[in-house]
Amino acid sequence: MRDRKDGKSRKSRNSRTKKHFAGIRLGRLVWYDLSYGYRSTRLKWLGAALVQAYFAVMAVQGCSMPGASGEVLGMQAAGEQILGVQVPGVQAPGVLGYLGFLLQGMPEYFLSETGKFELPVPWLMLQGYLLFLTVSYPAGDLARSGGQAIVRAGRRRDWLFGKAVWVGCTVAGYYLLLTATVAVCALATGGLAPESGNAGGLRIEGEAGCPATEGLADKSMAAGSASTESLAGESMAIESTSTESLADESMAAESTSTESLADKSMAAGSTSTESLAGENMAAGSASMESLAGESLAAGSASIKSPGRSQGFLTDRYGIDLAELGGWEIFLRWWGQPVLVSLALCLAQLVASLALGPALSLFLTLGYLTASVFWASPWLFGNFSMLLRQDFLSGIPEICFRNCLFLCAAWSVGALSLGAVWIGRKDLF
Amino acid sequence: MKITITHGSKEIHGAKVLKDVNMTLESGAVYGFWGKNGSGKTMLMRAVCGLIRLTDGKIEIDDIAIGEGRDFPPELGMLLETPAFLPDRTGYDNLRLLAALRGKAGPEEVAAALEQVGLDPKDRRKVRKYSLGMRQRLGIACAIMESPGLLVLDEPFNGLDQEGCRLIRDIIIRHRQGGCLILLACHDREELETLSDRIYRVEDGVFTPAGAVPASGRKLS
Amino acid sequence: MAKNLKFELDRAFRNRRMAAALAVGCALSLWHLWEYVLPVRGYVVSGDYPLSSYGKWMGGENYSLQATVYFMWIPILCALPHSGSFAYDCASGYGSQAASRQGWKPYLRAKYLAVFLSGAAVAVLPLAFDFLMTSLFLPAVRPQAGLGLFPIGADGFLGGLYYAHPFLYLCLYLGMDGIFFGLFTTLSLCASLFTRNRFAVLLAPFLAYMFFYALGTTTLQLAACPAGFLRPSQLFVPRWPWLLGELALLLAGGAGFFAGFRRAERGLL
Repeated sequence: MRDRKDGKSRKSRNSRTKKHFAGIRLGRLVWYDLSYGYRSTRLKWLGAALVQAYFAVMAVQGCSMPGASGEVLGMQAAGEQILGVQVPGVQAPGVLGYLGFLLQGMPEYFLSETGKFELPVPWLMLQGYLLFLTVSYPAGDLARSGGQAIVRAGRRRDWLFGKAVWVGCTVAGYYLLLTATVAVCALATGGLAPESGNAGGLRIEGEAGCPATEGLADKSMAAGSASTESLAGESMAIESTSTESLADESMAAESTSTESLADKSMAAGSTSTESLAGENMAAGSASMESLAGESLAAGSASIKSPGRSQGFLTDRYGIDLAELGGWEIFLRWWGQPVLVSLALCLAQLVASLALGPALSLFLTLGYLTASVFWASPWLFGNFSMLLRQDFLSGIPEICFRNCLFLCAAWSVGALSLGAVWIGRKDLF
Repeated sequence: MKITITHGSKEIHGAKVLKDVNMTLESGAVYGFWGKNGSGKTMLMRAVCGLIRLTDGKIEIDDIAIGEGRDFPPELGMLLETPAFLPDRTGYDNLRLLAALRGKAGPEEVAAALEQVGLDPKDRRKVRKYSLGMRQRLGIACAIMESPGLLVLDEPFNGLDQEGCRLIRDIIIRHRQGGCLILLACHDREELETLSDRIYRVEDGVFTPAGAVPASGRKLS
Repeated sequence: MAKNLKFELDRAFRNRRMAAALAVGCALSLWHLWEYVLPVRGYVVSGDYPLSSYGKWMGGENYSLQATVYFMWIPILCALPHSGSFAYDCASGYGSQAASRQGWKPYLRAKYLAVFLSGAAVAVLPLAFDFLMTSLFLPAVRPQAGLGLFPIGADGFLGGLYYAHPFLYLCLYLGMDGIFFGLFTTLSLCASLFTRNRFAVLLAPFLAYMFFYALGTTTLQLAACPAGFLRPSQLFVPRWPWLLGELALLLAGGAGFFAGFRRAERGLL
C-alpha cells in the first residue's frame, strides 16, 4: 500500500518535474529565438525604422492643415483619386490622426471596366514590410544550423513554437515602433491627442466604380444636412449615410439621421457599429450580421457632407472620438492591425518552411492585395484598414469580434498545420 | 542508453537508401560504419538523430520510439557532413548560442570543448575566416560540449591534420570510457578498426556486421 | 563563353524554380481568363463597340486583381529561378572552379546574361500566354480611341501606335517589360557582392522595384513607378525621362556588378 502510494507520488513528481524542465527548455528556446532572431534581422529593423519614418513624415504632410477654410488638401493618390478634406481651422491630428492616415487603407473597391484598381500605398508598404521582416528567419534557421538548433529544441513542434513566439514579438515590436514614430511626429506637430470634435466630412472623389464617387458630380452635397450635436450629454453624432447598391443606382447621400448613443439606437439607414461595451445598437437597416451568410450591406460608404468641424479625425473620417470608448479606439487603431499582421505572419511562417521564403512572401502579398480588392471579412487585410471598418464603411462583418475570431482561428490553424508538417519533414 | 533499430527502411524518390536495418546499440561502445559514398551510412545516422523519418520500421531509444514518444534522442551530440555555422560570429559565440538552447553547457564547458579539439576559445576570428580543418574541429566541439550520451560522428577526420586526428581519437576513446554510445562513420578502415567495438559494413543500404573488433576487450551483446 | 552561356542558360531554365515561377504566372493568367474573359465570350459588343482581346487581356486593363498582383509582385517570381546562383557559386566554390577554367569575365558575362534572360522570361511568357489565350475567345479587334473602352490615351505614350498597330504596340511593350524585369533581376548579382544570404539576394530586385513604386506614388511622380508604367495598359502613363532614367540606373547596376567584382574580397575565389 505504502509502495503504491509512493509509486503514485513518484509518478506525479516525475511528471511535474518533466513539465518543469519542459517549461525551462521552452523558455530557453524562446530566448534563443528572440536574441538570435533579432540579431539576424538587425538590418531589416533599421529598414523598418526608415520606412516608418518616411511614411510618418508623409502622414504629417498629408494631414497638414494650413488653416484656410474651404481649402481642399490632401495627398493625391495614384491616378486621379483625390482624398479631399475640408478644413476650416487648424487642427492637430495627434497620434490617432497620423496612425489613421497610415492605416486607413482605402474604401471598398467597386469594379468598373473603365476604372483603375490602385493600392493604398502607406498601408500596403507598412503591412508588406512587416511580412518581409518576418519571412526569412525561420526557414533560414533550419537551413543554416544544419539541424543543430532543432535537435537541441527537444521537440520539433517546440522549435516551431519558438519561431511563432518570435513572429509574435516581431509584430508587436513593429507596431510599437510605428506608434513611437508616429508619437514623435504628433509631439512635433501639436500634441499626442487629436482635438476632439464632431461632424465633419470625408469626401471621397474618385473615378467611376466607387459608389462614393458616383453621382457626386450630379448630386449636391447639401451642407449642413448632417446633424451634429454637441458632445455634452446630447445625442452622439455618428453620421452615416446609407447608400444603396450600385444596382439600384440611388444615393441617399444626404439623408442622415443621428441618434444618441446613450439612447442606444441608430436610425434607419445607418451603418452599423457595435460598441464593445456591449451597448445595443439597434441599427435600422444594417444591423450586425453574422458571418453565417447574411448579405453584406451593399455599397455603403460613409459620406459626410462638409460642415463646421472641430476635430481632425471628425473632419477626415467622420469619427467622433467621444463616441468611441477608449477600448474601442485601442482595438480599432492597434488591436485589429496587430491581430491581422500576426495571423498573416504566422501563416507565412508555415508557408516559408514548406515553399521557401520567396514564394511564401509572394503568396501573402497576393493575399493582402486580394484583401484590398474584395471587402470581405474572410480576407483579413480588411480588418486592418480603417476605412473598411464597420462604423465607417457600412460593412457590419468587418468588426473587431469577427477579426478576433477569424485571426485566432487562422493562426491556430496555420500553427497546427505547421506542427504536423514539421513533425513529418525530413531535415537534410 | 540503448538504441534498437528494428526493420528500418527508408525510401527517397523511389530509391531505397536503407534496407531492413536491424541492430542493437549500447552505451559505452563505439559502432563503426564503413562503406562507399552513398551507401547509406549518413542516412542511418540522420534517422538515429531524428532528422529523417523511416519509411518502415522504427528506432527506439531506451524503448521510446523516435517520432512517436520523442522527436530527438536525449543528450545527443552530432557532427553530420560539413558543419554549418554563422559566418559572422566567432567559433566561441557560435557554440555559446547553441549551448544556450539546452542549458547544459556554460561558458566553461564551451571553452573546454574548444580546447579539446585544439581551438582557442579566445580567438576573435569569425568563422568565415576558418579553414576547412578548423570548421571540422569546431563541429566536433559543438558535438561534445554538452557531454552527450549519444555521439554521432560522420567522417570526423575530414580535413584534419595528424595532430587533429590524434585529438579526435582521444576524444572518442574518452567518451567511450565515460559510457557514451558512439556512432562513427569513416572511410579509413584502419581508423575504424582501432576505435570501434563493432563494425558494420554498409553497401546499398544494407548493414552487415563485419565482425566484432573489441578494441576495449569488452564483450558486446 | 558560348559553352558557358549554354550551361548557365540550362541551369537557369531547366530547374524546378523556373517551372514554379512560370506556373504561378500562368495560373494567375488562367484565373483572369476564367473571371473576365470567359464570361463575355458569347458577347459581341460592349456598348457600341466590339469586344476586343486587346482590351480584355490581363495586360490590357487596369481593374482586375490578377493584373495588379502580377505587375506588383512579379519581381519576386522573376528572381526565383537563377538570381541566387552567383551567391551560391561563390559560397560553394563552383565559381572558382568555373573561373579557373575560362577566366572570370566569360563566367560573369554568361551569368549576367542568364540571370537577365531568366527574369525576362518569367515576366513576359505568362503575359504572352494570357494574350494568346484571350485571343482564343475574343477577336483581336483594333482598339478605337475616344470611346472610353480602352485605357490608353490617344495622345499618350505610344498612343498612336496602340490605336494604329495594336499588335506591334503589344510586342514592343512586352519587349520593354522583358528588358526592365530582366534588368531588375540582375540587381541580385550586385546584392551577391555584399551578402551570401540567398534570400536577401533573391529579394534585392523586389526591394528596388518597391522602392521606386513607393517613392513614385508618395512624391506624385507616378511615371517613376515601374509597377504602373510597365503595364501595357499604362496604369501610370510612362514618361520618357523617367523611363530612360530608370533604364540607365538599372544598366548602371549591371556595370557596378562587373566593376565591383574586381574589387571584391579574395574570399570570393
